[in-house]
Amino acid sequence: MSEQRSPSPYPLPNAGEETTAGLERHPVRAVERPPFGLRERIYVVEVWLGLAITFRHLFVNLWRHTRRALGLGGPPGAVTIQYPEDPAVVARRARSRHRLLKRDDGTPRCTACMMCETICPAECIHIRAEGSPAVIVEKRAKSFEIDLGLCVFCGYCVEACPVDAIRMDTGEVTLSALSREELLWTMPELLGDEPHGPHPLWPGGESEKRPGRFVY
Amino acid sequence: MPDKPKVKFTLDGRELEAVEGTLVIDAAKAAGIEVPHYCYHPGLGNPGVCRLCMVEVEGAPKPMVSCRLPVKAGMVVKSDTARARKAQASSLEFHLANHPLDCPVCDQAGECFLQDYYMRYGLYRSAVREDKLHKEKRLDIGPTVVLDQERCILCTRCTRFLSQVTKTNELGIFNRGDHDVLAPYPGRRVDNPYSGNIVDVCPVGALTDKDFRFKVRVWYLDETPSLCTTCARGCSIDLHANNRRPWHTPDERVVRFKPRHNPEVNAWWMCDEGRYSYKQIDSRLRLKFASRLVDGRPEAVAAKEAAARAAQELSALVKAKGPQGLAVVLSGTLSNEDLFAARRLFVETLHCGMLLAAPGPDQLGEGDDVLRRKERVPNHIGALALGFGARIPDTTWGGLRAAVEGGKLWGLYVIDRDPLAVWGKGSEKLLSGLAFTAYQGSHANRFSTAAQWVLPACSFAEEDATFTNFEGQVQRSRAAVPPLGESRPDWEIFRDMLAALEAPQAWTSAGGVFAELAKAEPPFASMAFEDLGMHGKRLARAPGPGSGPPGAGSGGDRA
Amino acid sequence: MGTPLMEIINAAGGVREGRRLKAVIPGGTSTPILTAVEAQGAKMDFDSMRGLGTFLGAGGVIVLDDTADMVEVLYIIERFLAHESCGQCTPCREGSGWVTRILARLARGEGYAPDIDNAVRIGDNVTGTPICALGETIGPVAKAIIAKFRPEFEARVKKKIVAAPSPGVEVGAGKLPSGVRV
Repeated sequence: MSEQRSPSPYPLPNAGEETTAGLERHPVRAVERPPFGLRERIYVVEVWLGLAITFRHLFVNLWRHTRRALGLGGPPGAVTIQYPEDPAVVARRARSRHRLLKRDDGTPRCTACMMCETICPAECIHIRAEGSPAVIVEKRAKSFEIDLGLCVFCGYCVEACPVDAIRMDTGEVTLSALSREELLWTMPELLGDEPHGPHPLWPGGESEKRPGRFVY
Repeated sequence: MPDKPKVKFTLDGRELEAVEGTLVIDAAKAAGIEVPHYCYHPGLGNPGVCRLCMVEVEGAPKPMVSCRLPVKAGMVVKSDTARARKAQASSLEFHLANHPLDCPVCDQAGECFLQDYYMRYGLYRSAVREDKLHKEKRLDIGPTVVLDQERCILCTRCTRFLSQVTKTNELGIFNRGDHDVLAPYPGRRVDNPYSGNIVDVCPVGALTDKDFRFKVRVWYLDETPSLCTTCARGCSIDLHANNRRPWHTPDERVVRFKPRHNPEVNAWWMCDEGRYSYKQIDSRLRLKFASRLVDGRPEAVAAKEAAARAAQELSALVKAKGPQGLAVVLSGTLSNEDLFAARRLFVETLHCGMLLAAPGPDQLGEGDDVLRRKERVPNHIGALALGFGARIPDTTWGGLRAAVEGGKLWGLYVIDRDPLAVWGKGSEKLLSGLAFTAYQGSHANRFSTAAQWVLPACSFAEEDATFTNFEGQVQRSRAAVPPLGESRPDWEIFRDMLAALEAPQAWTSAGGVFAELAKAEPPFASMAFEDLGMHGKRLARAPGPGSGPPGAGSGGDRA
Repeated sequence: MGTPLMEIINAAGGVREGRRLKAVIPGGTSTPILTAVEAQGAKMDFDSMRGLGTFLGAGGVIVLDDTADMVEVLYIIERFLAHESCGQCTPCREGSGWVTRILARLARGEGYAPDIDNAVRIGDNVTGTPICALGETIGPVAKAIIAKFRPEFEARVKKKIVAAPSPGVEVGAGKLPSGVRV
């Protein structure tokens, strides 16, 4: 099937031709290096300056914490989150682990159109299609696997899907596994019908105890 | 008969020349200008019903359909003015007004004319706010075709194909206005031997192939021009292979054949038997490894070593018992290169006693006057042109069996055929009297399970080769996928055998074999492997006696 | 030939008691409509009709008084044309059905604001492309009635649309809506 390219707004060179087309937008600039005199060559001065930055952070935050402890208000000091006992803060719209959505009648929305598989730059989505007996839509996914070890979390699959069947809004970013195979998520796991696992070495042994578990 | 006069006319500002009476749409295509169209098909006529191929003609009050417009001297035609494009775009809008939003589930996506033309000539925002018209979907109208009436744009290409080419008239258009639907006539199903072609001509996903349904998206496929090897017609095809997403089709690499236009062989069509013969390429019966029967059990041998050892065994037996006792069964499924190499080995070097090359009852089927030939082999004319069955005498299956039973043979080398299937049940015991049996071919059969030597040959889809059809048209097959396992082209196996017999050949490619063949055989004299092109070339001289049915015409309705 | 239109109407009994003339269709439903004012000066011959932007057609005079609902009238005419369409050529087949359904929504009171212009635009797009004259009448008929009785159509528009009106088919192959990059 030959590729169909839509007309591009940029003039493209033919294969093998040299072009200056990119240089107008990204001209070559010469960067001047700063001088490397005696003060720099001794290194001690620079080390001291760097440490000064570190200690400045220490004292400023100490001061801020003290002010707030005394009830005087003011900006908050820096805090170190005790991960994993404290949950990681993930913005609502940050791309996290994928999930597949269902229609009102409980069937997966996915129609196996392969838009996400085609657009995925990492080729990490593997779908197999089959016919569906449903009245409205005649195609569905027989299997839908995402290899999270390959995924670059770009979100193109979410944008490409015409039926809003896949989203990356679970908020789950803790996706560690003990083998490459464990990073392969299958359709029932992405739909939330089955737990992804097993994780026999996880403290407590049950995935409910993991922070940030998405409720389907 | 003198050529029809040519006239000059202007198309999109270019001065062109065409035979008077040529349709403007054809003249535009010849000049490299695409005019969008649905109902017009060069093989099925120009009803002018879709109203998409609108062009502006100087002097005419309104845009005209270019498929019904013959070229006249001095005509000035424009297909890319604002008015012409607006007419084309508005006609496209009407085609899409009731068309269902099925792209995600429709197999035609990626090769759909509605999609393609919208991206090139449409690109407007839809103004449809009503519920679209609903008709029947997923109708099973035959063993090979599924119909979706909502997607149909009523271009009538399928009904015209079934009435003009197959003359079976299974489909018709019923009702009136925008309630009209494409449907089979009551009680009919589309089950003629060419039913797959209506899927090809359908510009949208109304008629889809049942066998291909939901298998893989078409933009993952690689196309290779080749030819079909199911019968002696050798229809030109495009071979579609899924190399990029193997998990979609784990059991097969080649997923379908589509006919390719060849005015000298098959026009635009191919038969269903040939169309679905792609399944043979990756069938489970494919032989991948060479083996030798040791104590009744097959023992694997490296393919190159197998060729050399088999040749040495043959040579020893020829010296000991004489070449008269060696019988070789050749097949019309072998390419010209394979047959030339086989002749060099078995006739010129080993001087074998008996040869069987002609298609016997094991290679004959039903022919008709549309495309199918009764010889179910692509190259029996190539064998004839090389002398097999003509100056090199041929025997018959009956004659061969008699020779085996009479103890006159010590060796039987069979290529791509099955003597046990022809001779019937219980014929395995005939082989026990033979000192040497070998099978060389791409698929396992009853004989290959009983033969001492099995040498795997590759399929036509895995090699560059040439085949000569029943009219002498020599066409190229092109390698689309790599050979399975250790299978190789037959001529390579013969070359290695000749090398083991101290008669090395300088063949490094099929093109090299063909060049030597063309020098040696006058009918092929003017041909070059690289120049056979997309349609192939015809033999300079008709092949020897016995080729094709006499007086039966040149192969029937080419529409 | 050449008889004034009003004479024919009066000879047939004139407008009903207590009603006023609103519009006249001079030659059957395929011909563009005439307002009452235009009908006063109309003569039943080819040139007079042409001059008024309509034509003699089949000569079937349809008289409408002020109880006639012009939206309903246009809907019935377009429904008839859609019903009679043979279905061979796409613009007439799809365009007649589409216009009918738009008018049906307007008649029911479920019309959107762009529907009126959309109906005229669709009619214009059909004009010039069909195979036969039936398709050619779809556009002019709708255009005439909407142009001459527009306030009645606008009164039927109940639904408000928040998004920008649809531009329909614009010329410019290769140009995507602004901001969209391929």
